[in-house]
Amino acid sequence: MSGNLLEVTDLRVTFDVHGRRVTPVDGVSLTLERGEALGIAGESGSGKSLSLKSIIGLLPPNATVGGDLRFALDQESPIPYAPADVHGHGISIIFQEPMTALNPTMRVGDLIAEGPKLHKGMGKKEAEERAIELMRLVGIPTPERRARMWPHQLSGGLRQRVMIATALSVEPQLLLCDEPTTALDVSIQDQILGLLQELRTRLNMAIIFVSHDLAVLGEICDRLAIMYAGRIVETGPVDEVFADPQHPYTEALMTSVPSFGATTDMLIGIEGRPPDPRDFPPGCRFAPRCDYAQEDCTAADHHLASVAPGRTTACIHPELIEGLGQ
Amino acid sequence: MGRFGFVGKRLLQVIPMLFGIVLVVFMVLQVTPGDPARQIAGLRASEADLDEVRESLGLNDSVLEQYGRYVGNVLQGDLGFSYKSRKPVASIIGDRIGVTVWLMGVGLLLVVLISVPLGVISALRKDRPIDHIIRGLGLLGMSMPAFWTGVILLLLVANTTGWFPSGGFGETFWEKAHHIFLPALTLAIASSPFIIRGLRAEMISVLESDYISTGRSIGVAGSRLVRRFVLRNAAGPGITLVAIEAGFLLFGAVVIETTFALPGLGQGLVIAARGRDLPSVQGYTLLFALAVVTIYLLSDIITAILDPRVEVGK
Amino acid sequence: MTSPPSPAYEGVPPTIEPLEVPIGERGLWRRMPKKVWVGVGIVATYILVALLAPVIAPYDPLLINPANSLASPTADHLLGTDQLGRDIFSRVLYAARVDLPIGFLGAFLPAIAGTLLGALAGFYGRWVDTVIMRTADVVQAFPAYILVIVLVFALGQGARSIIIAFTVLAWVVYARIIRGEVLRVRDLDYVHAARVAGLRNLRILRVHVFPNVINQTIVYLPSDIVFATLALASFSFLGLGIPPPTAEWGAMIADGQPFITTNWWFATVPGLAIVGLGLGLSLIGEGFEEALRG
Repeated sequence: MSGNLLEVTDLRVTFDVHGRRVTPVDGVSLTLERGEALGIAGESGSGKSLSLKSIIGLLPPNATVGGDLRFALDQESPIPYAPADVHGHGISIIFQEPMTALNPTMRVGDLIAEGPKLHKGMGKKEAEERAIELMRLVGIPTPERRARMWPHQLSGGLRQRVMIATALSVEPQLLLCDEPTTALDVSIQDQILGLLQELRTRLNMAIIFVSHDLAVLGEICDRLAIMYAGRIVETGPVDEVFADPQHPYTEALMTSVPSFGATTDMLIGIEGRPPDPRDFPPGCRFAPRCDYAQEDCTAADHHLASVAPGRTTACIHPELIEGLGQ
Repeated sequence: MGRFGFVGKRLLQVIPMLFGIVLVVFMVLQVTPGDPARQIAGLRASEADLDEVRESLGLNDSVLEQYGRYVGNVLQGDLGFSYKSRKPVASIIGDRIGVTVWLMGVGLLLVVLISVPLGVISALRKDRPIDHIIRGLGLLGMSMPAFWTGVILLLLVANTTGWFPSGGFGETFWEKAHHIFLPALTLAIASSPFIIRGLRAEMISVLESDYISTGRSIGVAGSRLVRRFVLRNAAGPGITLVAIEAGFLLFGAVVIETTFALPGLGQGLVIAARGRDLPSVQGYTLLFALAVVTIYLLSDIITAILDPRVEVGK
Repeated sequence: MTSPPSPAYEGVPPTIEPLEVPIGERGLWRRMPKKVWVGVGIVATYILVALLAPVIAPYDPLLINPANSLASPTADHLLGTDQLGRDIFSRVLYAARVDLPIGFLGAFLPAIAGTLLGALAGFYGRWVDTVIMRTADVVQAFPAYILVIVLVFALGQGARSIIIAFTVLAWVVYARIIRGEVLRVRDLDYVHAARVAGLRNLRILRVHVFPNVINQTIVYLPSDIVFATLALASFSFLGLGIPPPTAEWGAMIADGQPFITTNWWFATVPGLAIVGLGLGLSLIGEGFEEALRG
């Protein structure tokens, strides 16, 4: 469990909307070690989900991706890749809404068997057995029977387990999780988080987990990156970030933590709205909503700078943050 | 039982619909100007003769009684007698139905052969040059009157190559196929643009759905993605589209049979309408309505079979 | 069939005096694709031709000259003459005066009828709504073109029947749009406020409902004009539409068909006239749809 698995440098996602360029992801850089779990937190529209999808090349065709992506599948160190290269090879993804993420006209066993058929050269019979094995691995009871079912015949929790089994069917070293628990009932959320945690250690699989819910991220992640308006504003080990936030947005996010199980990622508690990607404010993009904003905050773009070992922030006045007053 | 329950319910809905259609056709034609008795008895008939004809046709009874009698007769397969030829309408229809079934069958086959590939390509290459070309051709096709397209095909294909007859129908299977090809192609050119447009929209919405992302993320790509993830999901709505198009297709058949002098139901309807032959018009209309309703029903059933979710549906 | 909320209404405060809302979404006209303007140009040309036909046309479209029938194109007769020696070019121009108004009426009347009925259904609700919308269901369940044929048969040959038949059929779509829009707007605060202030329904309709609906109507209208024109031409071709000797494109194609091998332009040109008009209208409709979706 050493060496970087994924290196993302200066990731930019641009859309062309009626001849106007919009950049909802604007210079995101991050690294991930083998087996590590990284959480990306942010409100809706912060670009966290788009960042995730550009790592695995699932953006809509009208999006342009810039920056450098490197991934180490079987190599010592990460090498550049084209996003489509990792489809079925090394990186998988699970989505927020398991109902829409499963092909409604495919029996779930057949869906899970697609990966083994395509990449392991398995025959029909063998792949079906592998699918049942995977269903057992993700804790689906009576998998032989359920493999013959259609997605709409399963409960939300079981659907998400099918989704996870599908993602695992290609034996990924990195599992991308796009708010996989948000659409589920609270008790099911816990089960799915537990399952992901267990699979991660058992399969030595790295995870990037995107959510607006800090409580969820705290449960599963080693490290945290906070995103705001298309940029990462703070990174660090989960415990340290929680204990001592170095960016006012992180602090605001924590004080407005929604109750565990909230189903939207709209956060209340922070004044104002996240800025429109068509019209980002100059300098620090959080400044218009920031309680500590100074004149120099809006003067120039601020990049992540190290404040302590393993910790970075984009805030130029972290000393002003009062902390949570524990 | 789920799916069969669905089909049963759908069948039950069709019956009142058919009665409604018969009623509307009957009512509309009641207000038709012109005296049927005069038409049958001729211009020189005396008032007494006319009364006799009216009495024999039951025209002196109330509208409701006439409707009841008509429905009763229809249920027994009796569609009345043509004012013109004096032959039973049912037997006239029987003579003509084969041609129209051929035209619709081959036409529909060509529609599918043209629309499915073009619609799929257009969606997969959205906003690329090929998509623009297909959509442009579609706009052109939608603007062309079917009968004119037929005339142009006669001019460009039949006359210059001599490969196809310019009208009429044949006796043997191959003669029939030979005669029906150009009319069917005309029908396909007239209807395909709508199907292509609808199929493209449907495909695009399928392509943008999450489960396509799931498929791509595990490495399903190219034709396998289209076959296993896209087509079956787009097929149901596609079939519904074709069914909705059926009414238009029938109208196209009316026009095209006239253009190519095909002795089918459409041509029969036009001749009957020109001659103000009321029982024949009624018979043809009824049959067309029945055909459309049947096509809707079939499409619903096929959609239900294709989509596993319809099981418990209403 | 309710429409997506238009930004024009966002943030409108509940004032007593309702704000005048600009027709459609702001900036919509500016981001209209070029194809719309191409279409507008084409349709405007047709309208001009229809208006100026008596001025441009070199001959009386009904002037028969049996001595010079089926002539080939010459400087005198740009498109030759038909089977009765009438000038085809003049007839093609004059036909615009028949096909254009009937096509437009055949689309505008159902739009107006649908708008009125939809507004009635939306505003008064209850039994009015039930009657109107159930009727709409019945009309929609009916195979459309069959109904046109039956209606034309019953009402007799001619333009009037075709327009009536189209109105009976096509109002449904507009009624559904308007009704959905009225129901949506009716529940907004400022309409309540406007009601309290004694504004008449008509004004609410004009100020609050109409601007939103007009955009969607413009998407449907062009294709309905195309359908109405094609149907008119088809019925005339079948001998059930405009009676001779009036110049009409569909009827001219029927006249020309027997001579397609010798005088190919005779049937071809009137058809091209229909295709051109259809293309122009389709470009407008499709471009508008793109702009609204974008």
